[in-house]
This record gives sequence, C-alpha cells and structure tokens, in this order.
Amino acid sequence: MKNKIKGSLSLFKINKGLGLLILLSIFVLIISLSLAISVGAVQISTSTVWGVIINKLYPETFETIWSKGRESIVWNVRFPRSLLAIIVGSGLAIVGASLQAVTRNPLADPHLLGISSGGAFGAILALLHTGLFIGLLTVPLMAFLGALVATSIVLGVSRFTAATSADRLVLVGVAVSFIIMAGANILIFLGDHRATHTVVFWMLGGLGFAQWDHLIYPLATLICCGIWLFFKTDILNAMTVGDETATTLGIRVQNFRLIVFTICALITGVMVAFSGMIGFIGLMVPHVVRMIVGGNYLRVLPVSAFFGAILLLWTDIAARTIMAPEDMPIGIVTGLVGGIFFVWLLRRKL
Amino acid sequence: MKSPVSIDVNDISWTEPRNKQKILHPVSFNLDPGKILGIVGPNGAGKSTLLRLLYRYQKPSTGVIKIDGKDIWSMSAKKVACIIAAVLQEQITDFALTVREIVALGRTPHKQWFGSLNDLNDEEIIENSLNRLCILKFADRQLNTLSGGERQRVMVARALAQETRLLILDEPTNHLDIRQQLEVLELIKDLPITVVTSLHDLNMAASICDEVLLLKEGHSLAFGHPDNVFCKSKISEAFEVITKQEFLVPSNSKHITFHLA
Repeated sequence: MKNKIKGSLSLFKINKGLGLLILLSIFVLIISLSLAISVGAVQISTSTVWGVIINKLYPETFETIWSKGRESIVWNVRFPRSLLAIIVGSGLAIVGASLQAVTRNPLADPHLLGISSGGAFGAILALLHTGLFIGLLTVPLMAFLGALVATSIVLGVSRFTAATSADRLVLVGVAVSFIIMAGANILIFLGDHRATHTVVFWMLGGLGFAQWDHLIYPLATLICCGIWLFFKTDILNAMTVGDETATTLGIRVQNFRLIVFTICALITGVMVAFSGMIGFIGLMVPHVVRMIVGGNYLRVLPVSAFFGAILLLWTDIAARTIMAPEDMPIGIVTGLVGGIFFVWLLRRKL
Repeated sequence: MKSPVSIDVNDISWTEPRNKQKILHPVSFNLDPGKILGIVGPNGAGKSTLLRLLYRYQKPSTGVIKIDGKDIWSMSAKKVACIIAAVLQEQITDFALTVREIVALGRTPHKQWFGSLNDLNDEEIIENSLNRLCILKFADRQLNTLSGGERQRVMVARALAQETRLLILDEPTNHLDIRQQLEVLELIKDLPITVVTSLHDLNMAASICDEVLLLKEGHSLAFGHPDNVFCKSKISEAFEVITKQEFLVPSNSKHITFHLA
C-alpha cells in the first residue's frame, strides 16, 4: 500500500514538469490566438474579440458594444481561420516529430518526404477531375490516399536504391516530390481553367478557406491520431535507438513503423486538403522543442503540438500583415523561414 | 534477479532471402542455465547472424531455438523481450535522449498500456542499473556527449534494467580501454543469468566462458569447454594462423599466441 502511494507520487513528480510546460504553452497559445484575431486589415481590440467569442458561446454575457460587421469578422472569418492554424500547425508538428523517430532521421518532414505533394495530388484530382463523389469528405479522403501512395513510393524507392541513410532518404523524398508535383501540375493544366486559379492559390498554402462547418474534420483527425501517438511515446523513444535494439525490447518494428507512416499520411493528407501545402513546420518545431525539453517523446510530442500551433498562428499573422491588405499565402512564409532553418540545420549537422 | 534459462539450439541455419546465400549452416548446441557461452571465429564467420537468430530479430530458415524448453517463435515478441536482452553494436542517432532515458527503455517490455511513465519499482531498477555500471554520475547527460566506452556501458545498463534471464552481447569489449574491458567482463562473470557473447579475443573467451562455439564461414567447427575447443589445430584451421599454446610466468596460466608463418 505504502509503495503504491509512493509510486503514484513519483508519477506526479514526472508529470509536474510536463504539466507546467503544457500550462505555459496553453497560456501563450491563448495570447497568440487573441492577437491573431485582432490583427488584420481592420484592427479589432482584444476585449471585443473575447466579448464576441464569449457571447457566441454563452449568449448575452456582455452588452453588445460592437458593430455587426466586426462581430462577423471575428466570428465568421478570423476565429475559424485561427483555429485552423492551430489544428494544422500542431498536426504537421507531431507528424514531423513522429516521422523523425520511426525513420531515425532528424531531417524527416512531411513536406521534404513528398507526403504533402501526394496529398496535394489527391486533393487536386478530387477538386478538378473526379468531382465530390462522397460530398465534403471527398477532398480530405483523396488527399489521404494520395499521401499514403506517396509515402509508399518513397519507402519503396529508398529500399530499392538502398538509400537508408538520413540524407539519402531526404533526397529520395525530394525526388519523389518533384515527380508527384509534376503529375499534380498536369492535372491542373488539364483541368477546368476557371477553377485553376483557386486551386493554385490553395496549393500555395493558406488558411483563408477556413469555415466553421469544415473544422470538425481536421480537428477530429488531429485528436484521434494525436492521442494514439501520445500513448506510444515509449515506443517512439525506443525506435530512435535502432531497429534491432527496439526488436529486443519486444517491439514489432516493421509493423509499428507502417502504422505510424499511415497515421502521418492521414494527418498530412487531411491538413493539406484544408490548408494547402505548408512546409517545414514538421522539420522546425521538433528540433526547437528538443533543444528546450530534451529528446523524450513523452515531452517532445505534446510540446511540439503546442509549439506548432503557436508557430503557425504567428506565421499567419505575418502572412496577413507583410503585404496588407493583401493576404499572402502562408506556404510562402513557412517556405522562406523553413528553408533558411534547413540550411542552418545542415550546417550544424555536418 | 530472475533465475537463468537453459538454451537448446537444434539445427538452426540462416539463408539470406535475397541472394539465397547460406550465411549460417545448421548448428546445434545446448547451454545449461547460468553458463556463459562465447561465440568466436574470424570476421564473416556468422557470429552476428547466429546472435540475431538467438535474440529473435531474424527467424531461422531451418531449426528451432528453445529457451527453457519453449520455442522462442511460439512466444510473442514482448514475452521474449522479458526473457532475453541484447547489447548490440548499433550506432545511435542523436535524438537528445539522456542516459537515464536510454536505460529506462529497458523497462519497455514490462509495461502495460501507457508505457512512458515509470512507477517506483521501475525507478529503483533503473537507479540500480545505473549504479552497477558506475554511470550514475552522468545519468542526466545526453548520450552524444559520452565517449564510446561510456556509451557501451549505458547500453549494458539498459539491458540489465530489462531484468531478463538471458543476456546476449555482440562484441561487448569493442571500443573499450583495458580497464573498461576488464570491468565489463567481470560484470558478465558475476551476473547470475545465462550469457551468450561474441568475442574477438580468444584468451579473454577462455578466461570467462564455460562453453565456446567456434565458427568459420558459417560452419560450426567445435563446441565445448574452452580447454577442448581451443586446441592448436582447431584455431589454426579457423583463423588460418599458426598457433602456439604457451604458459604465462609466474601465474602458469595458459595463453594462446598467433603467428603468420
């Protein structure tokens, strides 16, 4: 009995550090969220922002002292957009972190490994050619399938060319990504020319298409997959040591890797379907997180989720203000920042 | 510490599935509980392949491996991981794990559904393993800041934290200096469990092993007590060198020396 109490105390001790970190992350996230909603072509004070949100959730809590137009900007445009930024940011960050563990490759990222391109290909196929044959779910489903096929091609080619080292795997990913993007561009070229403008704009990456009734899909995907991965953090840790050692720890390595790849393809595909191609979040966030909290996935995974969300919120703020009132595609901003980060990472590694 | 296991190996062989090359020809041996088996032979003799079959990374093309009378392929991977631990020569990519976190991985097969948290019992086992290998002082450092010898000790500590009844080691003395080599060998000798280890140094093998298996080009040349296996003719055949059995003065212990011509 005494041992049991002491045991749960020690659990609490380990959890306390993690709990504090997550509490801090939530705090920063909420501040970033209110800033993201208030900043834009029309500046809206944060008190109005929270007034509108709270009134929507619990009607008539506050007296309405703002115009209908502002209420609409907050509730119908910026709030769903910022929520999408949070969902996509944390989704891509945990995908990057998980891929890095199972490939034992610190450069793994859904964008660099061609998974995003596969997702884009599937989504374009649905948008321009097949039509929405199962309604709203068509695009995310096709994007998932595209991402899954791209993942298998990358794995197949890397096995075929015996490119198992970290750098070679990324090269294979980039090569496959080029090929798939060429295919995607053919689809765009052959598609309805009136729709291509929208598709190209979407592909550059943007959160401007966010709508309340669409948010449930990426959110549900993120929560289900995120929880599954969080319960497997000990296996993710063991995978970083090596296949053979992980096997001697009772892990069915090939099996586990396949499941993680599928889950990552699912998250990436769905995120691409709703926000286009946003690169490098999965590469940058886990690296920065590891510098702060160390390599244990029990901490890396949840902190990456929060960090990714916060990073994408701020990137979206930047994308909206750099060329205001124009709304710059967010993929351009993450590409710029991420590319520079990638160069820095290469220099540090060599 | 748990009770040691016996090993029964019956005609196991392994063929590379891609090019159908036979890496290990059928080999059989028995090992009593608590004994130390040394696997020796020149490079490319199939030592690592045999070990891979023993720690259940690869399935033998033919034959059966039984631990305490049970076929290891009739048990789940997790169950086997609670009985067999292995210290391998894998290069660890830098993922910023600390020494304590690496050693804690040894508890993985014993965990139930949520494996990332350690209870008090786990903490104590991890602490003991760290202590035993004298690495407690850098338990909170990251693995990539350590020297090769220190890393090797971390991996041994990780295997001990697994609390298994059989320990398999692949060249455990590689990259270690003389003192560290002696320390690891001393530790292996003192473990109350069954041990299988590949070794390069025949004199070292003779001094710590109860049984040795001599391999050459995937064939078993001899199995038995080191005094019987390490005769001049067998060693000369396996390593293609001229062998002399000498006696050290003043301890009068046997020592094997090797010459090219």
